[in-house]
Amino acid sequence: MDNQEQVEPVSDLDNFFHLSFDAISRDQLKQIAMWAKICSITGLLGYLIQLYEWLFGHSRLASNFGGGILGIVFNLLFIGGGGVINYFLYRFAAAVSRGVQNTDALHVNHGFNSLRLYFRTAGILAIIIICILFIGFLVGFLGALANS
Amino acid sequence: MDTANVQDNPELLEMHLDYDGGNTLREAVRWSKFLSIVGIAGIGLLLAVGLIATPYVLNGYGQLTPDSEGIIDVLLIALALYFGALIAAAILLLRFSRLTKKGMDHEDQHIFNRGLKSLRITFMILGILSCLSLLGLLFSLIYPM
Repeated sequence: MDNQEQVEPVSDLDNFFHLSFDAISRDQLKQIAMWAKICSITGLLGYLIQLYEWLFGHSRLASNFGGGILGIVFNLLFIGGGGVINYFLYRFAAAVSRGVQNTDALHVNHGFNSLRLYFRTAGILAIIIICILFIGFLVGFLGALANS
Repeated sequence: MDTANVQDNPELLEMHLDYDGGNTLREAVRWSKFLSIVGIAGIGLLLAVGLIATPYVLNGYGQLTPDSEGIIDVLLIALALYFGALIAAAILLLRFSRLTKKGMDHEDQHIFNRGLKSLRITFMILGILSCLSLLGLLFSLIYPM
C-alpha cells in the first residue's frame, strides 16, 4: 500500500540491551525532563544572581569565601561549575522531551549523554570540594598543633 | 527485506535503548552512585556537626527573648526539613543507580522503569528545593541583612 509508513527494521545495536521506552517509561521520561528543566532554569537563574552580587554588589557569597585570589578562584569554581552543571542538565531535559514528543529514541539516547556529563561534572566538582575541605582541615589542625 | 510495515510489526514503532545510549547511561549511573554516596555522607556529617554545634552557638548569643526563641525554632525546623529532603533525594539517586544498573544487566524492563521512577522523584525534590532556594536568594537580594 502506498500510504503505509515504511520504517527501518530494528538492528541488534539499536536494541542491544533489550530495553525499550514503553508507555510507562516514556511517561517517566517526560516528567523527568520537566522537573530537570525546572531544576536547571532555577539553578541557572540562581547562579546568575550570585554572579551579579559578586561582581556588582556586596555578595554574602564573596565574603564567605574571603577576598583575594583564593576568593576569586572559589567564586569562579562555585558559580562557573554550577552554571556548567545546570547547562548539561538543561541539554538533557531538552533532548529527552524532544525525543519523547517525536517518539525518537536517538534524541533520548543523546539526552543520556548530557545526563552522563551532568553527573560526571558534578562528581568531579564534589571531589575538588572534598579535597579543598580536607586540605583546609589539615592546615587548621596543623596550625592548632603548632600554636599549642 | 530492508523495510517492513508498521502495521505488520507494531514493535518497530517502539523506542529502544541503543548500544551508545545504554553505555552512556551506564557511566551516568556510575557517577550518580558516587554522587549519592558523597551526598549522603556529606549531608549526614553536616547534620551531625549542626546538632552538636547548635547548643554552643545558641549559648553564645546569651539569654534569648521568647520571640527570638520561636524564630530560631522555626529556622532550625526549616533547615532540618531542607537537609532531610536533600538526604531523601540522595537516597533516591542511589536507588536509581542500583535499579537502572540491575535492569540493564538483567534486561528487565520493570526494574529499569522503577529506576526511572526514582530519578523522577529525585528531580522532583531537587526542583522544589531549587525553587525555594531561588525564592530565598531573591528575598535576600530585596531585603539584605
